[in-house]
Amino acid sequence: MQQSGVIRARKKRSLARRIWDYKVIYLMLLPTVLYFVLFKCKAVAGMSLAFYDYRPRGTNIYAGLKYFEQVFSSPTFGTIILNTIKISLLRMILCWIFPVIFAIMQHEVQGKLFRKSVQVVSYLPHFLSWVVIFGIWNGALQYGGLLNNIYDLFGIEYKNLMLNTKSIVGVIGLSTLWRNIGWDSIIYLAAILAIDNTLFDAATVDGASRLQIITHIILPAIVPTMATILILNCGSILDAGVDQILVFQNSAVQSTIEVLDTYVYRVGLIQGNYSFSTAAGLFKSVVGLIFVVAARTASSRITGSNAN
Amino acid sequence: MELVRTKRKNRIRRVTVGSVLIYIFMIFLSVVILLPLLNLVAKSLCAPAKVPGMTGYQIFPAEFSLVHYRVILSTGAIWTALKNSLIITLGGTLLSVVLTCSSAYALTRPGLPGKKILMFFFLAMMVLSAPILQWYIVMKDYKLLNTYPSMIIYGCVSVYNMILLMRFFEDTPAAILEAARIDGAGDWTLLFRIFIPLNKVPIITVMLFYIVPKWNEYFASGVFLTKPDMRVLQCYLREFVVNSNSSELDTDLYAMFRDLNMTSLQNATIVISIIPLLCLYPTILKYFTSGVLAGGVKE
Repeated sequence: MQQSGVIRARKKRSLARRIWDYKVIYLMLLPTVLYFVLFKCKAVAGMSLAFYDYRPRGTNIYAGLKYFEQVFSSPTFGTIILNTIKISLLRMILCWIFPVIFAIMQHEVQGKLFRKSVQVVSYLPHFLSWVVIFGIWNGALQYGGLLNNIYDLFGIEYKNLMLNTKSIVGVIGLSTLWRNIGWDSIIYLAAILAIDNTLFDAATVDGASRLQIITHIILPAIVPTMATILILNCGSILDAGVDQILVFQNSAVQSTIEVLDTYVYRVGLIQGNYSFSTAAGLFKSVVGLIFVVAARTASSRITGSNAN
Repeated sequence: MELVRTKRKNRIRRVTVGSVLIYIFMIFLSVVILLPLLNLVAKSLCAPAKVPGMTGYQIFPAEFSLVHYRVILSTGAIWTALKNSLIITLGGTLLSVVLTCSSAYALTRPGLPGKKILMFFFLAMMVLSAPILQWYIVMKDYKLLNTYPSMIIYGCVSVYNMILLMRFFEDTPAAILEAARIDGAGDWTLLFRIFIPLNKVPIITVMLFYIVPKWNEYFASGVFLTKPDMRVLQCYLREFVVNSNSSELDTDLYAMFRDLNMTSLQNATIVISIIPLLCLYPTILKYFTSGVLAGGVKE
């Protein structure tokens, strides 16, 4: 009895002492914590503006749920959410399937130099800014550009795909794929390279064809990675890529590819309806947060169960 | 891990339909990526009169000329934009790397009291996000609008990168640390003399993880830096390439403008903006892939 009391006392004393011992360590953490508290937390807390009327000077006036009612009764809001989900689903599916196929292909290719060259080329677009990618795509899709030349070859009349409401979503999806196919394949290629060589040897000895090796050895081995990536991407379903959409928007297709982020930006910073925009932004942040947390929990379950 | 396949022994390789299709697809992919890019470069290097006659698949200029580059580089605006981008990218990366290293070091000290609370705080900071408008208001409150610090501070610590570094710092051999401690090394000495030199590869990776997005960023910088003399390169590019706003060019150049080709001028600006990245690309290839694998799915 007495002894345990002594131990407890020693522990108590040592906690305060331990904190003092670590003072230099806390000092090292201080700038980072300050950044998050003074900037990020302040910005996140700033979303409370959705409940207030914004005033450039003086204190804001409490407005209750007025702005949320405005957001949800706005005729465009439903369309914008649909646009957001449509675009991000398209991007998600394209950038999920094709990198897997590309990774398997990289693994199948024999020539080392050839494989390396294709890798170097395919990773490049990932490092270009969306403004630059727009420049490249605009050059290829405009009248007299590469695609126009190809259409001419087959004698089809060409209409600029970037100015067409029917094709712009496809352009957004394909340009995302163009940017990410190489880069996103790395993680799958790594999963394939981690497969035990003896499996391949055994399959070859048993007379398995290359297609059988792919379907029976490679695919099962990368399914956990694929599932994890898909789930993590589901977490960002409401992020349709504001950097990309903003440069691809033009007056002809603006409303077709207006997504939550661009809408919040336009209404808030361009038109100056701070509270209304914040209400829409807060809605997006809360729903997005639920998705992200759910996705991360689910993915850690999956990776945990696969001892990855 | 290196992305070179280890030899799979005893695999019989024959030329099959499948392997031919794979080669065709890979060549197709490379062409789709490279051809528009090379065409863009070719048009930027072409004499103005010959540009309209160039097709979309020509990768060499019809008539070589540097006139578009000369015109672009003679405007003051692009030099201002380049300077601003460099200051923000280099300053921002330096701050980011210092903060990320020191906090990763701090959080991997064994027995740190309150580590769990701190990690929870950082993870919460990772998943929470605020619209750009709220960041704008924060920067306005601190009177940081139209200053370099606004963009240097914005997003200066990525929790993802911090966790990535922590994984490497945790693997540092304990024996070295013991020896250094006995020799009287403090935490700063440990960090700068042992952890940073021992973990050069992950730190350079993290550095690149900060540099590339900072250089390519145009959204937040367009919001925070509105004065023309504060504009960064990507915003200049957006104005000129996406919005086709040619008022960026000097008026006396504008007189010459009719003889020049707008597309080629835009292309020349694009090429100028990606040259720094192309210089970094070999380094990026060397380090990034390992970083992606280390960060990877294991979170």
